[in-house]
Amino acid sequence: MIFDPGHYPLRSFVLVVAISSSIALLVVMSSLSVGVRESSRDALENVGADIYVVPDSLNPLLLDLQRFDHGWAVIREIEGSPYPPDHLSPRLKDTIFFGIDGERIGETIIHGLIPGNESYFHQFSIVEGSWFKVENDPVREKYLAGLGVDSSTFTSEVLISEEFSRDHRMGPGDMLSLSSRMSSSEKMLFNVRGIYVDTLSQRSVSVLIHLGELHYIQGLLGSDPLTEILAAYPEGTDLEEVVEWSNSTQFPFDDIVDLYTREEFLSELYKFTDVLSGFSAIVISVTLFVSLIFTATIFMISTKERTVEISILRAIGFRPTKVFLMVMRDSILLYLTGALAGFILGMLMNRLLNVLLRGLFDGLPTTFQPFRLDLSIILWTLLSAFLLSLISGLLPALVSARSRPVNALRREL
Amino acid sequence: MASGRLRRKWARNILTVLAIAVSFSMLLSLSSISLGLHRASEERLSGSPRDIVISSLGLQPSIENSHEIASELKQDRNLSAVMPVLTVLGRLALDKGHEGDVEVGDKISLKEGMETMTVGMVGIVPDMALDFMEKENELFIRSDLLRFNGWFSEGSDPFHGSNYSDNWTGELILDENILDEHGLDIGDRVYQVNGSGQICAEYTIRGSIETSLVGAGLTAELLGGIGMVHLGELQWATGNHKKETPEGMTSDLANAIYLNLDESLATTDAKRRYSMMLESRFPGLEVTSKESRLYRIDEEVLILEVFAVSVAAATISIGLLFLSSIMIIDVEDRKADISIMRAIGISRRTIFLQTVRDSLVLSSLGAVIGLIPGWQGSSTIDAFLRELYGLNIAFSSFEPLVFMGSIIYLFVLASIFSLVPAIWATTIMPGSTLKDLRNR
Repeated sequence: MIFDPGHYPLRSFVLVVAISSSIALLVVMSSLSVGVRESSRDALENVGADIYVVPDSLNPLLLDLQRFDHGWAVIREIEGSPYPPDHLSPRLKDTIFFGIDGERIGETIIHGLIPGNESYFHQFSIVEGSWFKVENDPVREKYLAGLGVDSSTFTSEVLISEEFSRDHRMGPGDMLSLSSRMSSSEKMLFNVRGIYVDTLSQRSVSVLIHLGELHYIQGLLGSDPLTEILAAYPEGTDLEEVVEWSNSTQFPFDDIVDLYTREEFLSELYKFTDVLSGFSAIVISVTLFVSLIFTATIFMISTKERTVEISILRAIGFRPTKVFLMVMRDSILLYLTGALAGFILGMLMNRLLNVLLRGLFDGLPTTFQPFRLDLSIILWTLLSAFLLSLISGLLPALVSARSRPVNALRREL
Repeated sequence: MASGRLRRKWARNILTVLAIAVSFSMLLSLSSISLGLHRASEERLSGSPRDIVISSLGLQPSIENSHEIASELKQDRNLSAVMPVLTVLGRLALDKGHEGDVEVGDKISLKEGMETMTVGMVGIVPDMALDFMEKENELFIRSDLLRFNGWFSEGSDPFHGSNYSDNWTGELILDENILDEHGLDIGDRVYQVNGSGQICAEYTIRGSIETSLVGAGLTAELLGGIGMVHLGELQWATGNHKKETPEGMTSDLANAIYLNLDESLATTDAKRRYSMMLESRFPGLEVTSKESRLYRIDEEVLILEVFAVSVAAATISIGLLFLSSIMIIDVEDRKADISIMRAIGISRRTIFLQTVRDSLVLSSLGAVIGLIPGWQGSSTIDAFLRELYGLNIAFSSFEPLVFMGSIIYLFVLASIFSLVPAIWATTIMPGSTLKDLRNR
């Protein structure tokens, strides 16, 4: 071998460590852009909505920060459209004051929803206790029927998030008071039925309640505001056509809401995450360039050191092509060894970084893995290592193959 | 002596220096980005003149009777300035598409195809806001510096004063990006659209606001800009003036009250005591000091800083690992020289230092050559990020501190990575190597 690890163990070891480190960095940086992208997609796909109905002119990334009125009228219109969805779930995200054992504690985020409608979607998953017992929304139904509504209509059920439960040491069976006002003597008591995890925001400190009850507490029954409606369509529905219909004159609420497909939602999100891909590409390019310069230099030195052996090989009849291939083979072997070690190191670092980031970022979705490997990274890593080995071995291989044995031996000996 | 040795192997050393220069320029660029992010976040808050903020969670305003509370607090001798603030995402239409004025209480449907935009609406009481302006025409809202060109002619909040029935001023200070993009001018009218898609308020542009948003890039896709109006008028337009709830009528809602403490409460202890008093007075609301807000912002940016520096550190480490390989080869090449040196009595320490010194000389040359590309890289990334996000903030800060820090880091790492070849060089025995040479 031209680059003989047995002959130069220390040099070979450090070189393989250096190559494997650069390949590991390549794996980690590529995994970051893939991981952020794929995790976002997984998180949204896991929720199960094909279309998100959000306030007009609002970028879907600012969802929850604005609301639209006439929620039920919008729902009825979408249900009666030429493209009726299989499932619709209206939601209102708001904030509310809460108290425990008669004492005012603070403000928390609250999601108003209709349990029966929401059960098709998978954003909130129960970890302890149970889901709402009453699946419909009696307050809303009674109000729409023109009947009087008061707190006696309430189901008085709430679910609390895992983080809320941890912060306030509450669980199923405990009572929670909710109030729209900072200072209120009125106590509307709710029974905690279960504890959930918000799959889009694991550390969310929040509460779930029937939509109509939230509207009632906040004095919003008349205006009927929502922050979003999740819609799931039958398989084969052309979602682009649904969006097109919503932008036409056939949809009377065009001024109030916009419909976004999941893909459109993701493409808005990708605009922000793609900067990571660009950053990764720069880091990878610089690292590979540095690796290339160094390995080419080291191969050149190693080949030069072996001039005598190569000359002897040429003198005893080895053809230039064979010498060329020998040098190239060594270069490829060394790089592939480094690539294999780097790949394993990169995978370990990915795992470590995922654990670290999950600890650092409170609100990451449960399935979020910012560093994630996929087939493209494996192929890209192998291809990079192969190309680098070819480029860095090319010059030494050409020099070796073209050397004249007599001249080289005279010079060296 | 070192230069002589390095000159002998000039080709390999030039390539080594080039590779280190590339790694070092990456280290410089990313370190300057890291420092830039840190500086930008610090400036955002350290420039902010308010000491304490009483706030609700932010999705919906929940501080009731905000004008009254602010007036009460203003009587407190411990406070030098007080201001209630309402910030909401609002929709503005540039043309209502109908003749005539919009009167208070009107609800006008939007005309087909009319353009609307999402704007960050801020409601303030102008006279109270003046107390927070340390520099003329500059005000911090949340953590953003707003620079005004033109101001409200009515300093109080007369619409609120009339119990939301009369004295609508309609004064609006609008983001200059929106003015530029839509060809609007002072005196033009714009309209606020409510959640039902109806025009509910009319404003006349009185001035412009310059913010860190440049009206382009990704942020422009999220937010058209900022608009500032009288607090009472924004409360009315967004339904936060009065709300009938089962627990009674809530009115005059805001989501923050900014407070400046009197100089007599300048000590940390006094500030903490006062904050605790406010917490008990406003149960359920968040009372945050400037320090805690700075800490929170620092925490948010820290992740990005650590990430940028870690990537830079990994890149330079890889470069130096390769340098270590080159130095090992160098020691192998000089085995005979080192043997002779050892034979004539040169100490191991000298040989050790010689190898480390060679390594540092190559690293230093790489650093010098990498300085300009590093600075250029930093400027390019800064310009790219400004354009991409559409924010007029410095993403990078190329200061002597960055250069010094990077040089020290490079030298420390280069010294560590040169330990292997240096220690190995000291183990070369005079006799054995010379024997090897004789055998060859």
